[in-house]
Formats: sequence, structure tokens, C-alpha cells
Amino acid sequence: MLRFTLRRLALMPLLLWGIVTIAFFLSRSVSDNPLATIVGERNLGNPEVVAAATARWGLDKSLPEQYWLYLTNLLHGDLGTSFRTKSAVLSDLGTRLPATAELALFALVIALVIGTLLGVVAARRKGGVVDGAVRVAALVGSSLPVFWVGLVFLFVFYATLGIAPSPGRLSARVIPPPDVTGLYTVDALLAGDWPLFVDAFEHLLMPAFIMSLALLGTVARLVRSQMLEEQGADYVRTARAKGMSRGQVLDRHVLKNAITPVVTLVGVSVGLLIMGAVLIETIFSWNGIGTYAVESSRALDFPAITGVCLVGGVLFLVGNLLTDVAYATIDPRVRLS
Amino acid sequence: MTADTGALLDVRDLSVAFRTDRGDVEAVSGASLTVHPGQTVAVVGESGSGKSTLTAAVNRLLAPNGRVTSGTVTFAGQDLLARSERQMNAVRGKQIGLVPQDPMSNLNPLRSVGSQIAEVLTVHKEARGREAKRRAVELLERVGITDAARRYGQYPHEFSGGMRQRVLIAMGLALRPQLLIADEPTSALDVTVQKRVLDQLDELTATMGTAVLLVTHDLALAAERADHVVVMRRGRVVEQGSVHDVLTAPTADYTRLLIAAAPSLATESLVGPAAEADPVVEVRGLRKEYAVRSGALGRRTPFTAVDDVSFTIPRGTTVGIVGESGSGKSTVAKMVLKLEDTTAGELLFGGKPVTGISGAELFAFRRRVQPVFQNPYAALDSRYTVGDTVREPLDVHDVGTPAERRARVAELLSQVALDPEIARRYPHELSGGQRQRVAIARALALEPDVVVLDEAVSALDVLVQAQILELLVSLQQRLGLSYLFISHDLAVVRMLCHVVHVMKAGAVLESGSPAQLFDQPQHPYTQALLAAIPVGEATPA
Repeated sequence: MLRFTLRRLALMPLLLWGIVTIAFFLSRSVSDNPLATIVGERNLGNPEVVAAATARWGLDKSLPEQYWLYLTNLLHGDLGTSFRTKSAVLSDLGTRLPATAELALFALVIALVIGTLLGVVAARRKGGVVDGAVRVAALVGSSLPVFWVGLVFLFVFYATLGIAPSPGRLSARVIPPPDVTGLYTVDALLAGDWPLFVDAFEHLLMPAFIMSLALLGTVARLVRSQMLEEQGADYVRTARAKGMSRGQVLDRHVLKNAITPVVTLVGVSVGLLIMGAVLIETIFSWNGIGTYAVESSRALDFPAITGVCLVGGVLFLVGNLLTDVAYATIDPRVRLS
Repeated sequence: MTADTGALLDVRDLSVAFRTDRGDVEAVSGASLTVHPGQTVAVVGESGSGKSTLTAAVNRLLAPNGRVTSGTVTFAGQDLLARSERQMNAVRGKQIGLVPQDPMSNLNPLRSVGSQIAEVLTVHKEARGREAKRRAVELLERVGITDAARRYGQYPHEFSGGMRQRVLIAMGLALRPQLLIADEPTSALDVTVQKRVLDQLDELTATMGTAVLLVTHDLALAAERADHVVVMRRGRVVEQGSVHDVLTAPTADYTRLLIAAAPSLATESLVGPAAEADPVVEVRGLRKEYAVRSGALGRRTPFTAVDDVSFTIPRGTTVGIVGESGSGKSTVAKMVLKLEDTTAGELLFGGKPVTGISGAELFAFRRRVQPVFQNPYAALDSRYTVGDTVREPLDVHDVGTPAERRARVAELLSQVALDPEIARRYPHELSGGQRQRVAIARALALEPDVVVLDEAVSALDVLVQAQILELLVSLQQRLGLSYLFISHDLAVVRMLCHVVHVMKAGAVLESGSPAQLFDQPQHPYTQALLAAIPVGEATPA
């Protein structure tokens, strides 16, 4: 397994190089000019300023030259400087990634815990009221567009009922906790600041829940169908013949067998969660990678766009690697090679 | 009828029905049987006879759509059908053990073998923690697994089929139950393994005083292992009595048929002596290696599946290869079919080398050599009608006009004794025997010289098997076919083959005519194989 992991890690730079190359040329293939972002609309008429900026950002060089420069800088850990924020893309990403990570991780936990729970309950009472409700809810959850649900939730729970907090990561005038992990909930706990944790948690709850919906529904349906399928397996009857109750067999034998495909699903959905972040973060004013991606794209901020793609690629690859490793850990028959 | 008071298990007039899309189907109809303490009772029948359903009803583990419609099941004085689910949980595993059929699918693949045995003890609160583990290790030792302490933590996939079956026996007997239901406990095992496993089971149940309800399709095995035989057919008990009575003086016609059809080494050969003929297939020094990954570093090491095998198939004769699983016999079959490349050696067809052929030559070769495989369920495309299946080879090789093809399909189906009307049906509408006939018809469509029969009758019930064997012999005589007959079943090989090769671990150990081989086996392995076959005589009690 170690050998497998190392080999996959060794392969990663190659894949990332591919991602960077595609992102680099794709973003620069637009006919529009990013100079407006760099110097501002007002200065576009000033040839001196434009010339200086063009030289300063290397836009006067040919595309292959720019690409080569980008790659050599990348090898030194330099992702370039954002046209828009004028700070290093790496540090931009560093401040925004934890926000998205907090959202996505929490969404993942919600999807897995609630999804599995619903799936198990539905399978146990197949054809019952709970089963029907879960199936409908799961279908609705995974079919409704995220942005629509987000807006409706904000309208109902924040604007109308007033029980949900305002969009954003914290309430107004609340100072973020000292930066350790960048995840406000975790950092608040580390600082021992309970009220701050509650505030961060309350702000996290709604966007994370909405973000989790699609995955939650899929997990619930998958767990349900897997449980039902596994229940017909021979080893289940054998376990029953030992004198185990239906519930004992479900908990000790069926669940683990049923859950393995969920692992694959989660690995694949890392990418989906990142994509979902774009919409959720925009609606909930969440200052993460998603909003950064949107703002950078609007401004033709090439270095930032390429940087976001790189981060997405890394997360996706790591997610897949973790899936394979988790699979081998759960299923003794799987030998990674 | 009143219950037999001295009985451990008394099943009276039991009927079981399954709810299906086509309404209720009765799987067991008014069946009665009795098991006395310490006794072994065999329930014998073909597939679909209701024997497994009957035993599943005893420990109340019928499939969800099944239910007992009438009758009683009395076990140790308690009415099992009146027990609650919770009360049944206390009975199962502790008073009634189960050894299920398929050792591959009856263990949870994700949990260690030992923990699955220990679970029987913990569920019934007989032991826990370290004590449960100690006793599970002890049980593994008792069923003959060496190095049990280390084996405890291994997973099912690290065990061979025979060892898994031993694990299942350890599970079934963990709490020394009064009754053990053994549902085809060895039908998935090789004959020598079957003998060892059954001997072990006999010994353990004898020392524990456990009664056994043995479900089997193998009459000879039942006769060898049981005191009392119950013969079932289509859900009904057609005959029961002591092994001696049922076997020597069967009263039911069906039992007589079964006894007559069951192949044994005493069964007469269906074929005459081999005629002198030119070899149609010649195999010289055939060798097949596979690269397998092994060890912690996953290094590729060559595994030799077939090692220096040579034989010829004279025209119009049947050459048999017998061996247990892993002997390489099926690999030989695949290489002769050219579905598998050879690592070394030469394959001649009609005197011409065909080892390295490809393209048009290989396409032409396919017409001359055709296969029939073991599983008639998997070998037919479920979305093709019988007619489509049989016609497909003609389409592929562009033989004749559409009208001619249709006529040929009808002809082929009547050749294998099927009504040509069956061409419009789908595989799921046919019985196992009918499907195998369809597979044979498909193999004959291109008028091949050689048919490779890889365990082609192994999955069939004895009566159907006897019919198919007769069909194969008559087709050979009429069409001058040559067969390569691969089988693990020595009795069947003896009936059908002119020449037999015994394979083990990739090599041919011994060859000869069936008479030579079976009456005077020279190699110790052949002797062991023959000794392991149930001969159908009860050991004197």
C-alpha cells in the first residue's frame, strides 16, 4: 500500500502539469484584455501606464514565453501575482482555501452521517413510510439546483423568520479567531472562545447543509440499495443461522459491505463539492476559493484562474488517492498495486 | 398423524409457498420427516425438489417471500413455528447449527474468519473477548486447520474452498448443537477434499452426539453418510426409509430412476472401444505460464498452470481429462480452443500447426473447433432467443441464405432432441437441461470436427445428465465428432471417454483407457481420487 501511495504521489506532478497547461492556455485564449483589471478603466487611455503595466506583468512577451516563465516560477513555488488583488496568488489562495475547506468538509460530514443514517433506516423499513419519505427527499435533494435552494433558504430562514444568521462566515463586528488552521470553528475551539465557535458554527450550518444536499441524497439512495442488496447475500443468512437478530446482522455484517461503494462516491464528489462551492459561496458571501474563482474569472485574472485550477486539481487527485487507500483499508481483498 | 415423541426433530405435513409475480408457488407440499438424536438423515433430490426449502423452514430462515402454509415443525419438544423471532434467535446457532452450501459466498468477506466463528459464542453469551477467541482457535483446530492461531485473523479470501467449508462447519458446531443442518455442504468441493471434510464432519458430530439433517443431490453420498434417506421430488417426499431399504429395494419409480441414472464407477461405458483413426488434434509439450503478483512488494512471478502436456485426439473418439480444481484442465481446454495463448509447445490440427495462426486462418479454425461450457445459465445470452443463439455462428461465418439458416436452426434443434418451436423462446423459459442442449446445438451449427466439453454436464441433475451424455454419444456416432471432455467427475469420464488423462498441478500424471485407469490405477493420486468417490454403500453402523 505504501508503495502504491508513493507511486501515485510521484505521478501527481505530471497530472498537475497537464492541468496547469490546459488552464493556462484556456484562460489566455479569451480575446478580451485583462489590462482593464490591472490598471483600471480610467488609465486605459494613458499609453504610458498601459505600456508600463504590460511590461511589468510580462504581457508583452509571447504566449510560449509567458508559459515557460509561469512554469519556472511554479517550480519555485511562485504562482504569480494576481492582476486584481496585486498580491501573490499563493497567499490569496492560502487565505481563502480554509474557508472553502471548512464549508466542504462540514458538508461532507453532513452528507455522510445523515445520508448513511437515512439509507439504513429506509432499508430497515423497506416499503414503509420512512422509506418512502427518504426516497422522495433524497430525489428532491439531489435534483434541486443549489443556487435556488440557497436563495429560498436565505429568504425563509434569514429574511422572513430571522432564525438564521446573515450570510458570511461571522456576524458583523465579530473578530475572527487567531489563525491556526484557518477553519474558524476549529480555531475558535483552539482559542477556547465558545461564543465565537457558536457564531462561526451558526454561520456554517446553512450553507454547508445546502452544499451537502446533492451528495446527501445520493449517499442515502446508494446506502439503501446496497443494504437491500447485501441483505439477500448468503453470508447474511449464515449469520442469522448463528442466532443473530436481524438488527445485529445489519450492524455487524451488512453495513460495512454496503458502505464500500459510498467511499468511491465520496472520492469522486470532492470535485463536485468544489464546483458547488462557486455557487454557495457567492450566495452566502463566503470568502473562499469559489468566490475567488468567480471574481478572478470576471476580471480575466489569469494567474489567479490558473492557481484555482491547480488547487482544484490537487484536491481532486488527493481525494481519489485517499479513496483508493480507504478502499484497501476497508476491504482486505483489495491489494493496491 | 401424531408427533413422534422420541424424535429430536419432527416435521409433519409441512407445506411452504413462495409469493411470486405469477402468484403463489408451492415449493414443499405436505412433507414429513423425523430425525432422532444422533441420527443422520439425508434429504435427496434434484434441483427444485424443495429439499433446501424444507430445511430452511426448519430453522425459519426462508427467503422473505416464503411462508409455511400448513404443517408443524417440532424440535426437542417445542413447536418452532409458534416461536417468536427472538425465541428463534436463541434456538439458531445454539440448538440448531447450519452448514450452508457455498463456502465462497457464506462468509462475510470483510471480516476475519476467526471473528466470524467467535461471534457464535458471543451472540449467545457463551464467551466473550479473549475467551471467545481462544475457543474459536480451538474450533479451527478441531476442524483440521493447522496454525489456527495465526489463521484466526485471516480473511475468507486467504482460505481455499475446502478450508472455508471447514470454517463453516466450525461455525455450525461451535455450541455443540443437538441438530446440524448441512445443506449440500460439499457440493462445491473437489472429491478428495469432499471426503476429508465429510470425514471430519462425521467424526465431530459423532463425538458431540449431534444429529445431522444432510441435504444433497448425490444419492451415493447420502447412502455413504446417512442412516435414513428421504427422497424428494417437486416438493413432495416420494420415499423414505433406511439407507439399505431405499437403495436395495426402492418402492417409488422415481427413486429407481435416480439410482439407475446416478453415474458410478460401476456404470457401464456408453462407448465402445476406440477405433483406430488419424489424430484430428495433436498437442505436444503444451505449457502455459501466468504472471502473478505475490509478496509484499508485488513482484511478478511466473505461475505454471500447464506444464508439458501432450496428447492426441483421434477422429471420432472422446479424450477425457480429469482433475481437481487448479489442475490446469480448463486451461488446456482454452488453449485447444485457441481462446488462450500458449507459452510453449505445439498445437496441430488435422496435421497442420495452428499454434501461431491469426486473422483469416484463426477465423477458419474457429469453425472446426467449438466449445460447450459448464454453466448453461451463463453461456447463453439472456436477451437472445434460442433461435438467435443457434443461428449466430451461421451469421458470423456467413453460411447460407437467411431461409437456409432458419432451416438449419430447426434441424440443429431437432438434432439435440428439442422441439424446433423452442427457437422463439428465451433462455429463462428453459430448464437447465434444455439450455445445455441449446448450447450443444450452437456448438454443432458450423459442423465442427472437434467439440471441447468443459465440465459440460457438471451442473446438471443426474437424470438430465444421463440424457445429455446419451445425446453426446449418439451425436458422436452420427456425425463422427471428436470430443475433448474435461471433467472432475470420474464416473462420468468413465462412461463417455475412450482415453483418459489424469491431471494434477498442471501435469498429466497418468493416461490410459478408462478400464486400465480405473481398474488398475498406477499413480497414487489416481488411486486417491478413486478412493474418495462415494460408492453408495452405507458403512455398517
